[in-house]
Amino acid sequence: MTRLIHLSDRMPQVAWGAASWSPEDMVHLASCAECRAEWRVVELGATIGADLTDRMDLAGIAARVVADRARRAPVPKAHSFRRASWVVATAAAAALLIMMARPTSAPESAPAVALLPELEGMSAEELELVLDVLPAADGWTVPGTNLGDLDDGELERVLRTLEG
Amino acid sequence: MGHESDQALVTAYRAGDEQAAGELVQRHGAALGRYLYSSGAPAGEIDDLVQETFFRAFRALDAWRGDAAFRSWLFRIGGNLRKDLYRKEGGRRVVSIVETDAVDHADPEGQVIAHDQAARIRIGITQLPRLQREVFLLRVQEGLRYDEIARSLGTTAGAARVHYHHAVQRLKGLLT
Repeated sequence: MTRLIHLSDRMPQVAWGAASWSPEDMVHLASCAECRAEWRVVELGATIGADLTDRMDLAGIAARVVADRARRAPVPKAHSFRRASWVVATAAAAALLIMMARPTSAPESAPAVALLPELEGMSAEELELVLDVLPAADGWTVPGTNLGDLDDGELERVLRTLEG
Repeated sequence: MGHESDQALVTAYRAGDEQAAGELVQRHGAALGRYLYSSGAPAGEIDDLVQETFFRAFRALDAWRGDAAFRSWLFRIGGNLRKDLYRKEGGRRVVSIVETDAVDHADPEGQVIAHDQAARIRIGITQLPRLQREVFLLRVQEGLRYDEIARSLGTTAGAARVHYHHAVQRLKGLLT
C-alpha cells in the first residue's frame, strides 16, 4: 500500500520529467496492473494539448489584450478639448447673435443660419476661422460686440443671455 | 520583467504598465490554452477563448485578491467562459476524438491504440465533476502539490487528494 501511494504521488512529477522512476518503482510497475493503469492515465493527461501551445498566437493575444486595455482606459480631459469646447460655444454664440441682430430687412438667405448645424463637426481651427469670417459675411457686424476679445467668463454670460 | 512575480506584474499593470499585461499573457496563455483544450474546448477555438479570458480577467482584476494563484484564477474564468459557451450552444458541443496528433507511421497499430486511449481520457476529463477535473489537470499538467491546489481552489489538501483519487479511478475505468 505504501508503495502504491508513493508511486501515485510521484507520477505527475515523472510525467513532467521532473523526476524519474527508481529501479524498485519499475519492478513494481511491471507487476502491478493497477499502478500501470494509473500511470497511463497520468501520462496521457499530462500530454493532452501539449502540441497545441506551439500553434497559439500568444504574441497576437498579448497585443490585443493590451489594446483592449488602452481602448477602455478613461480619456483624460485634455486642455485642447476644453479649448475646442469654448470655440464651439463661441462660434454658436456668434451665429446666434448675428441672427438676433440681423435687421428685419436682411435677405432671408443669410448664410449664418445655415452654418449652425455644421459647427459640431468643425475642428478648432475651422471654428476660429468661422469667428473671423462670420461678422463680415454679410457686410455688417454685431453692434458693440467683438467675440474674439471676450474671456471665458464673458462668453459664458453671453451664452446665458442667449439661452434666457 | 521576466523574473517578476504575478503579483508584481498585476501591480504594474494596475499602475498603467501595458507591457505587464503582455507579460502575463505570455506567461500563462499556453497553460490556459491547454487547460481549456483538456476541458473540452475545440482546438480551433483556443486562441479566441484564451483572449476572451484575459479580456475578462483584466477588466475584473480587482476581484483577484492575490490569495489564489493568478493562473488558477485565470483557469476559473476560462472554465466558466467555456461552460457559458457550451450552454449557449445547448450542450451540443462534441469533443473531437483526435484533433492535433499525427499518426506515427513507424508503429501505426500502437499509435492507433495510443490515440484511442488519449481520446477516451480527454473525453473522460471533460465529463469529470468540476473539482475533480480541476484538481486532476492542475496536478498532472501544472505539477502543483496538493497544498498548492487546495489554495488555488479554496479547499483543503486532503479534499484535493480525494478529488484527484476519484478522478484517476474514473479515468482508469476508461482504458479497459
